[in-house]
Amino acid sequence: MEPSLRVLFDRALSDEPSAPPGDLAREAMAGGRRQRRRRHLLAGGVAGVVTALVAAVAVNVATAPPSIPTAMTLAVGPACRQPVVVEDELAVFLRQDVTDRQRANLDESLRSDPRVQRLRFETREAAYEKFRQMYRDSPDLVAAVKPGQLPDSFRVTLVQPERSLPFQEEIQRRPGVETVVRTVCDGRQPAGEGE
Amino acid sequence: MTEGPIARWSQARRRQRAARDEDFTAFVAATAHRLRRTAYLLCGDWHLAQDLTQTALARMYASWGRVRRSDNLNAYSRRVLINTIFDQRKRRSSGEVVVAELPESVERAPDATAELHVTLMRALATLPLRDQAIVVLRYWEDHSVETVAEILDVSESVVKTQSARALTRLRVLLGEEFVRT
Repeated sequence: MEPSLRVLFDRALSDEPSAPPGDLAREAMAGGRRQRRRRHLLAGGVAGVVTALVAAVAVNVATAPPSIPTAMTLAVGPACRQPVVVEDELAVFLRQDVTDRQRANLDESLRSDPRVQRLRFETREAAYEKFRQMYRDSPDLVAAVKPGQLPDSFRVTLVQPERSLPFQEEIQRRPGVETVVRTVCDGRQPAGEGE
Repeated sequence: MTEGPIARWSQARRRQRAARDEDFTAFVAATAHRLRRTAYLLCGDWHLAQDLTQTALARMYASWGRVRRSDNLNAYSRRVLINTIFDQRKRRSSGEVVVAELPESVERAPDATAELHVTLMRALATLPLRDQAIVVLRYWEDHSVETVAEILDVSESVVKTQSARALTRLRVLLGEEFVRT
């Protein structure tokens, strides 16, 4: 017999051990998710993370009003595994049926509130644009959401961000407010299943 | 009233993710053992081969949304694997202790059948890594010259000349009769 190279290969592989226990696909997926997160952070930098979080929060919040823990966990989880310094902002999402009066009242009281350092308004159009950017690789997802279906929101930076909780609860009760979400990763959010 | 489209969106998103993962799992089930063998032929260590395979699969999953639609997933997976092996080799040579480097005794008689596979592995290991990859992809995996060129990102003529050179070398090391491919 004159074994060809192929036969030699077969022999070289003859001591192949059986595959080790464990779900290779599952482990590879976990590893892949970690890489993707790392890549997002490297590529997008801090600004990218904030945008991603905010957009994800906006979308997820709208998905499950008014109880948001799962949505929050989902949105914040991945980035929370990395120590990132982001701008500490509260997102005050407004109800879809918010009236002009309610919005104006809210705007006025936020403006005059001494605890508020900076205030800006993010329109649903801007939110949609951000969402579209964020999910530009998933056209069918983008197609499922139409402009105007994401909520308007006030973006509030507090003078003392570490004391946001009472403020959050207070604003949460105001008419026209869907929910208030802190966009910063403060390390207390449980890590979500991530993407 | 706002729930409809957004719920649909999140459903679509979940579905998409589930489909993607399912697809990936099927891909792993179909390919992993072949990848591991190829990795073994290039690194000579089953344990490391397993790690390299897992790393390569993780890299693929990280871009799976894009990758899964690629024309030649098979070739692509080889490319990722080979790059993973190259990376690992680079890391190893720049720091880590060399564990299983070539023993000196290539001249061992090829007539002892039990030693044959060791001999082939030893002979292979004397080649530069890229040539090893060419030989394995071409003669073990049976890829065409064109595909091998694509996987390794080199020209077809490089694949041709290098595989000829590598075969000559293996022939010298293993004895003429073993390389009649």
